[in-house]
Amino acid sequence: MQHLFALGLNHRYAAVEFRERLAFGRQELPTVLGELRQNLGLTESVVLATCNRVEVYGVAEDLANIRRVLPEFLSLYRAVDEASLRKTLYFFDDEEVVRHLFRVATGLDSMVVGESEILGQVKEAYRVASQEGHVKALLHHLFERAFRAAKRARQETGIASGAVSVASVAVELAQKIFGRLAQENILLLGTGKVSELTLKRLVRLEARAIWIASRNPDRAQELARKYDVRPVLFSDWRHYLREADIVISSTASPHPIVRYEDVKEVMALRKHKPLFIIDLAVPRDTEERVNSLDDVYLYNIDDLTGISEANVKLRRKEIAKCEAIIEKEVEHFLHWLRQLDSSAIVEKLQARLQAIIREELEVAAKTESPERVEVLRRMLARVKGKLLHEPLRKLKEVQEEGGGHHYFEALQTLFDLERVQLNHEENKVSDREPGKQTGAFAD
Amino acid sequence: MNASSSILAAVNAVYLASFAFFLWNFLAPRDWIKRLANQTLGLGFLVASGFLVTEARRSGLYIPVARLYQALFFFSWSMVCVYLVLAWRLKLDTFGLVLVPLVWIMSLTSFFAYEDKPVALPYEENVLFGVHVVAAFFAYASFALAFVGAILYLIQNRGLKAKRLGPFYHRLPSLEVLETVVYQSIILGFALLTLALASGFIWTRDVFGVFWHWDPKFMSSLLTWFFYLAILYLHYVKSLRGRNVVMVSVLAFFCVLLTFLGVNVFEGGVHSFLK
Repeated sequence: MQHLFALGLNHRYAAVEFRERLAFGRQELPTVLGELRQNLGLTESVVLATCNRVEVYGVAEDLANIRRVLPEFLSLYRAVDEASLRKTLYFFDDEEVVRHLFRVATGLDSMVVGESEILGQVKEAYRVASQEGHVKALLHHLFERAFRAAKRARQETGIASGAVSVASVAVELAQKIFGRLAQENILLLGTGKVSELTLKRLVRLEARAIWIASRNPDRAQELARKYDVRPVLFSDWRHYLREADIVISSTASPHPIVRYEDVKEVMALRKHKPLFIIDLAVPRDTEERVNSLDDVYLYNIDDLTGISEANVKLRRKEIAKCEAIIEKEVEHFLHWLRQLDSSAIVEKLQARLQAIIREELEVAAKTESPERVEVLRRMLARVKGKLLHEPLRKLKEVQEEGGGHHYFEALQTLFDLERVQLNHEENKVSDREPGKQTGAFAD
Repeated sequence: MNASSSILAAVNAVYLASFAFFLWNFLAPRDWIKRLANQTLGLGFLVASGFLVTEARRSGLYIPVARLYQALFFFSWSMVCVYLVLAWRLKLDTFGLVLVPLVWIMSLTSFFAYEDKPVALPYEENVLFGVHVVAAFFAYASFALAFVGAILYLIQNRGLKAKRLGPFYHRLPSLEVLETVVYQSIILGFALLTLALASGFIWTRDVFGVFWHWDPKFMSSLLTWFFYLAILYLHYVKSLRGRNVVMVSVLAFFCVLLTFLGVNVFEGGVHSFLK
């Protein structure tokens, strides 16, 4: 019987050195997947490798074997100590795999709960594996369902809402003040690292003009080239303050450079067009008093971090809701999986009976005339049909009501169906187009 | 309860349903709930229009605004109308949460103040009179919308200043959008008020021979007109923006309220509610 498994390590149990060694780059994935197929005989596999986790999802018959050889393979492949590796690896099978993948895709297993990058990364990992031919019906359905669960959880709960990085909090605030941010001017005072991140996000939103005023002309030039912005003389910053709608400051100045009087004067000149000042410097570049001016919104790094922490707290509250949605999706998937098994069982039962009939006909053909053999063939076909008709009908009925697993298990045991090899390529059932299974749920 | 008041009851029910949807969308936002809320409001508007038609027929007036409950209802109806137009143009969708309960309260009050008595106007209705009344009500409605926008602006502004960003913060539109709503509504209201005043003056001269009465409503509506003119001047000529001008528009609305409600309650004068 085919089993799902997942094996891997993440930021919670494995130190970053380990993760770094095992992290496969995008270009390496096809090779790794190929090796997994060749050396471990995995017909279906997906490898997910991000900076915070490395996981292998796959389908196999003998899970105990996989548990043994896969870590061995990984340790050899990447030259890491096997014993240490085994200590940090986690292993899931069947139902647990489904639940784990759904949680990962939704962002529940991430360092920042509800982060959105992971879903894209999972999709990419799946896409690569699919392109290289390592995905058949089982993983296809699993991952498709995972994407759907993630989408639902993210849409129907607050798990992904509210910005959690300082830069995105700043951008969200800017949007709360200025709307769609299509016509605003941005002034960068100084060139600290966090400023760059914030700038990066704002640039994406197509502001009208962006100026950088820095005491370090080289750094200013560098950023100017990188983000297509205009470097201006630091001494001119007051002039640009009048035209700018958003100011991001992070100079190394030990004292505030943006003073109350400056801003008051500027606001009068601006006719009180709103001004958003993001002060990322420590010590602060802007006098606190500036916030008391009408239509000036001053946020320093503590304010932004405070908001981001509050948002993370809110997200955490949504975890329970997410888990509930995920449980439902896991149920759906398992239901599909059980039906998959049951279709296989029915097929195998029919295959067995057909084999018996064929055997007997071959024996009869040795002594009887072709016409008699034909009569016998037709008769045996009718017998088979009549024998199976009622039981199959009842099985279908019971299955539609959502039960009947014990019947299928009984059939499997009584007729020893595990030994039946369906007369097509290996894993014939897995190769059939998803959705065309008998009894597959309408999706 | 006659046919007319049953329709009024239905209007109230539909508005209440719309409010319920807006509230639901606020607590658990989904696209389809938001659409449903706006569609229900649209339905309420249609039923409300139906009520106006039956009221007009029943009371023998083209535009039924002679009694307090009628005026209140007509006001709420024009508010919904202005909202639907502006919301479609400016792509607003969560405004309804604040607007619909206001509208519902007004039409509920209307329902309880309903009187099944015939009304006789001491003067004849004509087109000019109709224009005057409709323009006035729609002007009030536009100013009311501006008022709602201004209040939301001030709430948002407060939150951003105090860095206390509660659930409102996430759901409210940006300051930019709110400011646009305020000024676009004021422009519309001002144009309509100008029309209302002009048509009112002309009609008065036709019927009474004079442009002007020392009627409280004449005076307060002129005051209102100047108030909003000042606001438009500040914003469009002097290019002033920000919190303070928005605050002024909040104050200006009290002038509108005074004009609409305060004066009609007093006895005497052309605009008093008819007995």
